[in-house]
Order: sequence, then C-alpha cells, then structure tokens
Amino acid sequence: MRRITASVVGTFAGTALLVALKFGDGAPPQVASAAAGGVQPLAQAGTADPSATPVPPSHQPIGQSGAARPRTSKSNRQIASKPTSKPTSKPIRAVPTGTGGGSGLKTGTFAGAASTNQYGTVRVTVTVSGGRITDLQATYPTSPSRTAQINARAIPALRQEALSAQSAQVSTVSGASYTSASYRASLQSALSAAKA
Amino acid sequence: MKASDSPLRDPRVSDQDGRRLAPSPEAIASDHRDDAGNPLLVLILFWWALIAGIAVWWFDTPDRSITSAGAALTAVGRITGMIGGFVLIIQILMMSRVAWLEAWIGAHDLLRWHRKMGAYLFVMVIAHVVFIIVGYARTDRVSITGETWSMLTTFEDMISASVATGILVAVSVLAIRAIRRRMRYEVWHVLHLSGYLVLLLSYGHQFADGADLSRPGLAHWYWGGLYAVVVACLVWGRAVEPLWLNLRHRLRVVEVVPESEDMFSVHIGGRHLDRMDVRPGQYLRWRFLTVEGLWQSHPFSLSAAPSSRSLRLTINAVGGHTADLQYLRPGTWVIAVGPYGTFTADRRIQQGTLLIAGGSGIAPVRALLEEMPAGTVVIYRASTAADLVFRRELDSLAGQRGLRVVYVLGSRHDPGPRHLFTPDGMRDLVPDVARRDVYLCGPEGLISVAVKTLHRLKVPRRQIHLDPFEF
Repeated sequence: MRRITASVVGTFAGTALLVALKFGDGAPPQVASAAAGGVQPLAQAGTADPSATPVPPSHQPIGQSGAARPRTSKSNRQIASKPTSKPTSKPIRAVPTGTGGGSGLKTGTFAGAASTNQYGTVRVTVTVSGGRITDLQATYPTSPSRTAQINARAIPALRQEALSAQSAQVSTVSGASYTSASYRASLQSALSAAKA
Repeated sequence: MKASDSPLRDPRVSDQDGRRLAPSPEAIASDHRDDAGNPLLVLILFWWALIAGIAVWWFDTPDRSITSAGAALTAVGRITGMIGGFVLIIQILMMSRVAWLEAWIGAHDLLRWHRKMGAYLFVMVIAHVVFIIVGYARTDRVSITGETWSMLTTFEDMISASVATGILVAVSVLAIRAIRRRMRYEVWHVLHLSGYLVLLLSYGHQFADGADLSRPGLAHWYWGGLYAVVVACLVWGRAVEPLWLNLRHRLRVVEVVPESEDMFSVHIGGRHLDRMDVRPGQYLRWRFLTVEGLWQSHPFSLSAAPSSRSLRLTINAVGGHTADLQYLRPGTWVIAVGPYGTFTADRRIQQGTLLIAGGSGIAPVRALLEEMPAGTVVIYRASTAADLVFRRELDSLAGQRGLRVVYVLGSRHDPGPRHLFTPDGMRDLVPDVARRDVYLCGPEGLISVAVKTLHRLKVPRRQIHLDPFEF
C-alpha cells in the first residue's frame, strides 16, 4: 500500500511540476492568417476590388508560416446564419454604389482570410448592408469534441459582440483565446475587404 | 536469451533415453549473464515510452499558455489521462503471455507488477476524469454536473469511455485481495477478463477527443503504434503460440498415477515432445478436454524433466476440479499453453543451491533437481511421512547426483520444524546459505517464514527464486 501511495504522490508532484513549467502570464495565442487563401468577396453589389486586400500586418503569420495551412473543411462547420436583430436603419439595398452610412463599408458579402491557430482554422464571412454589418458567418474547427464544445459557446458570443460593436474590436471569450484571436483576425480582413 | 540457444537445446546433452541432461554449472552461469540485462532493457523502454507519450502534451502546449486554474486543472487531467492510457496498455501487455516477456521478466514478476500497477491505473483514470471535468467546468463557467452532462451528450465516444471507466472500477474493486479470495477463481478470472473491454471501449475517446492524438501527426502514429504492438503481442501470446504448440504436439493423457493420499501424477504424451521448449521448474496452463474440464485452465508444474516420450505433472487434489482430475481417462485430449516461469536452473547466479519445498511445491522442485549441481541441499517439509511423495525418486537422485535431501516432518509448532526456520536452525543445516541460490515452492505460510529467515541471514534478494506461480 505504501508503494501505491508513493507512486501516486510522486506522479502528482511530477505532473504539477510539468504544468507549472507551462504556467505563465499568457503568451499571445499564435494565429496565422492564410495569405494564400486571400480575401475573396463572395457576392457583392459594390465595386470592391476583387483582388485580395492585404491582411493587416498585425495578423501576419507569427512564427513559422508552415502552421498557416488551413484545415480540411471536413471538421469545420458553418454557423447558421440567423440575424438576431434586424437592422435598425432602413434597408439601403437600393443604394447603387454600395457605400452607405459613414462606415465606409460596401454592401455585399465578404469572406475574411482564413486564420489558423493550433486548434484549427477560423474563417469569418461578413454581410454588409447599408454600411452596417448585418450578419456574420464563420467556419471553425469542430474536432476534437472539446474544441467543438468551446467553439459552440465562443463563436455565437463573438458574433454577437461583433454585431453590436460593428467592428472587429471583440474581446476574448474566456477559455477560447485562440478562437477569439483567429476570429478577430479573419473578421478584420473581411472588413478591410469590405472597405476597399 | 531464450532457451533455444541454451545448452539444453544442444543435442549432445541428451542420453539415449531422450532424457535431457543437465547443463554444467559453468554453462548455467554464462547463460544467466545473457539474461541479466533483459529486465533492465524492458524497464528502460517502459520509461522512455512513457516519457515520449507525455512529451506529446509538452510539445503541443505552448510555453506560458496555462494562465488560469481551469487550464491548469485541465492540463493535469490530460497528463493523468495519458499516464492512465499508457499504463492500461502496459497492463494488457504484461498479461499477454507473449514468450519474450515471460522469458525476460517471468510470469511471477509480471503478475506482481500487474497487481501493483492495477491500483495505480485506477487512481490515474479517476484523476483524469475528475480533473478534466472540473477543469472544463471552470473554464466554461458552468456547474460540474452541467459540464458532465454536456460532455456525455456531445463528446464523441464519451459514452463508451464512461462504460470503460465503470468496468475498470468494478474490475479494480474485485481485485482487492479480500474480495478476490471470497470468489471462485474461475468466476473471478472471467470477470477480470472484462479488463480487455476497458481497452476496447476507451480506445475511441483517446483518439476522437484527445487534443494531442486526434490530429494527424507523429503523436497520433506513436500512440496508435503502441496499441498495435500490444494487440499484436496479445494475439501472439494468447492465440498464435498456443495454437501452434497444440497443433504440433497433440497432447493426450497417458495415465494417472497416485503418489500419496492427496497427490497424483498425470503423464501426458504427444508428438515431437523432444522438440518442446520446456525446462524443469517451468509450468504450463492445462485444459483437460472433459465435460467439466473444458472451461477450466489450471497452471501445473512439470514434476520431472521432460523426456521425448512424456511429460509428468503432479497435482494436489485440493479444489473440486483438481480432485476430479485423478479420474482422467487415458486418451483424454489436453490443451496446454506455455511453458511459463523462470523457476529454472538457468536463473542461478551462485554455484551452490538450496531448494525448499512443501506440499505440492515438491513437483517443480523435484523436476529442478535433475539440473542441480552436486552439493545441492533440498529441504522437503511435510506434516507426516505419509504426505511425502517421490521419496524413492528423491533418494535415488540424491545418490546419483550427490545431493542432500532433508525431510522435515511434523506440525509447524513442533520444535524441529520451528527451529529449522530460524536463522540459527537454517545456518546449522546449511552453513553457507548466503552463498547459495535458494528456490522456494510451497504453501504461503511456509514460504513467508522461510523468506523472512533468509532475509535475516542476508541472502541477497536476487538469489531467492520464488515459486513459479501463485494462485
């Protein structure tokens, strides 16, 4: 019995040591935007340049760019597009040039660059109407199950926050720092495309 | 290494009778030196394989990325889970009966380690479950029951993993000695075999949900490879080797001979017995194909060196099944699995030998005697002279080979036997006992008293060779 106690206590001490060595103030999550995928306006009523908008420098691949390979889309899921709030402003679909309001965003649907972190790839597609962000869709990793569980909670929260903030300035969802960072990066590039 | 390159396999060392002759003491000593490194190799491989398993987590977790209590608890849960998964497959590997493990470590030590690591495995798996649930719940800011429910309902393979945990808990509880002793061995053994289900049912969640294993990459292949090796050993040790042995030898009962009131010998014949790789002191698991015997497999030692014509087992009629075996009819088919055990002469590290036997423990000791050098002392413990078996064989072997056989009769409370198993008594009988290898086989009480005495006489632990199996 004493041997069992010793081996269990020893294991927990060693485990605690390993975890302590990885403990810290939180290195910024490494996310990489897939430059290869580019930013492709999907369907737009405006005159946006179809060629990719450069990804903002802050979202350039950090560390090795080899990590920036997007995952196969098999484990990615498209979030259901259901606008939770109707745009308060009048529908501006009639605006021929596509720019409206003061935001400088053109009407249309714009896909952001795929942003890859160690759990997978997040890609945000933004729908702009009348200068306002009216909808956000995202593909995100759903495997393994823990990633799916975290993203099922984080993605709607991020979407909600971006819709109300009308920008990519969304705060990190607790326990989902990687997904949050990738979401911000992809959303930012989508908005850049919408502005071009 | 294996007996195949030992002197026993040398055709020159068998006489016309086909009975194998004992190798010389020098040959035994050099043979043993070849063996000595193998347990060490297994031990080193074990630790490195475990380190590599956990390193998968280490390299997947960026530095300074654990910032909250929830993340720390989750990390502990992941590490304990990997240790648990690793120990589980080692537990299965140790019971795979694959020949190289049996030869390098020995069934006795494998069983001992299997028992000890069983309790450890139990703690690791429970820790994994608790730490993961609590860690996830803290990170997600939900209750523990809510998190548990969410995991059960949304995680891939989580239901089967929970069933596996339940089976593991049940198997562990049943393995507690006090509970195990209350059950019939056959029933207990069948229940314990459900441990294989734990491997089968927990496999899925490790690869579907394990953050480090679900992604394609070296970690995935490494852990998959561990599983493949263990399953291959299991199939080899539990199916291929037994099939091969029995197809080649076609064993059948030749005759049953009473040896004393309680003990009897079963002589078993078959084809190509001279090519059977079995040594005195080893045992096989025997299944006698009668109506009742079909479902039971029992380990019995050979009680004589194997000859080209027959094998002899000597059985103490204690349980219901073993008592029935004395009515075995000649011609009954026998399925044997083995041989197992390191209770063999090649494990000697000293020139001198002392053998201590009691009850049915005389069977392997009697067989071993044929390979022991002159000057060997045998202590044979029995209550009465009527309980002694092989007396004539022992006396004639003693004469031929220059051995000394000491019969110690009487109750354990009688002064004679009591004095013998004290340091003084043992030293009186065998003055140079500390420079001898000591082989012990017999009832638990006798063995524990004898081993205690040997420890007090400073007989080094590696010179003490315990009975080949304990059941």
